[in-house]
Amino acid sequence: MVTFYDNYKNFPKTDCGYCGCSSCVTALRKFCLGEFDLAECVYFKAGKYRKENFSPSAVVNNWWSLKPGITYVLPCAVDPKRTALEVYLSYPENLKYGYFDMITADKIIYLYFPGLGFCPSLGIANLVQGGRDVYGYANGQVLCRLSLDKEDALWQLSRLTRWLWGAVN
Amino acid sequence: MVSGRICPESGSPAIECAGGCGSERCAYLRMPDRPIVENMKEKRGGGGYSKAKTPRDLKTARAFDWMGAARMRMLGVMPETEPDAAARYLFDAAYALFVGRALQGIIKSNSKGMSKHLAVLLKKEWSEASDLELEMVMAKLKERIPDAGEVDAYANRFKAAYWLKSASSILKRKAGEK
Repeated sequence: MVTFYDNYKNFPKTDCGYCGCSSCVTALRKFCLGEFDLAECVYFKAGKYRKENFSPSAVVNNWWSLKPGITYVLPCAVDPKRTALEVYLSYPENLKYGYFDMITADKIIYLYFPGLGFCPSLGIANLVQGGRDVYGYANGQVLCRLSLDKEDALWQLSRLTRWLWGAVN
Repeated sequence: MVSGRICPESGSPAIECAGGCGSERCAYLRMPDRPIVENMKEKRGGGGYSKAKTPRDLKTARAFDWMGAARMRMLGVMPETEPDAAARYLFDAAYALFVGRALQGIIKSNSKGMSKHLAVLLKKEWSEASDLELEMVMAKLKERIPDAGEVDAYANRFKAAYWLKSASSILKRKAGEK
């Protein structure tokens, strides 16, 4: 199966705006959803890239999602003295492109902040700080583990989502 | 609970359509956890927001880490940051990202004309005439299709114009808010 990230790796990645999309990620994502013709891209017009090399059926957002809400897990499975929290940040109908764009998030914050890492191909962000473990997923799911209490978990959730705010689709 | 939604105008991440989105409150609406944050009163340490000013001249701008500036502004948005301030940080981050991209385009295409436009933008002396000029440049570029050998220079020239215009739209928006 060709993934969206496989497609992206072979794309021009110039972010020139010629096609009217704000970045190559957006153009490619729209292409995979049948909303954009690659012939609009200057690289394809010039013949440097070929449409046949890109899979229009690449999966953009294959994450399932429940309706938004917070679920606390007491105690946390990893450490019974601590709290875990799981949250879905958006409704499934808003997730056509996914909730967080982890390719953009990776570009903005990549390896800059200790403890914060990204895997754009899997669509995951991970923040490890003060013994806590927070995962953010492209579908808008956030999982906080090893939090001190409910309020602490909420604070971790808020911090990660706000850092990734610029990468919300 | 959460107002995250797809921007109907662009389908782009918030940072990329902050300046160009037609919707006045688009960035506010897409703040992921605003209702949570508004209920959190207690402060738990500061953010990493950099107050370092962005360069005002071309020479400094070329050596400046624009992407780093965008990062620091995004990382400055902490749970205790007021939503309005967080929106300002987002626009600052978007401005840094856009100028950085424009500069990449200028350097890769070696365009002197675009350098002049960038100098005007950095001095915050941007005008409607500059916008029109850039639109004309982009329209002119779109009139012809480049060869495979020159497409990189062509795309980078277009990139410079496109992102300069996007950065100017952020300046206008910020000026309108004052």
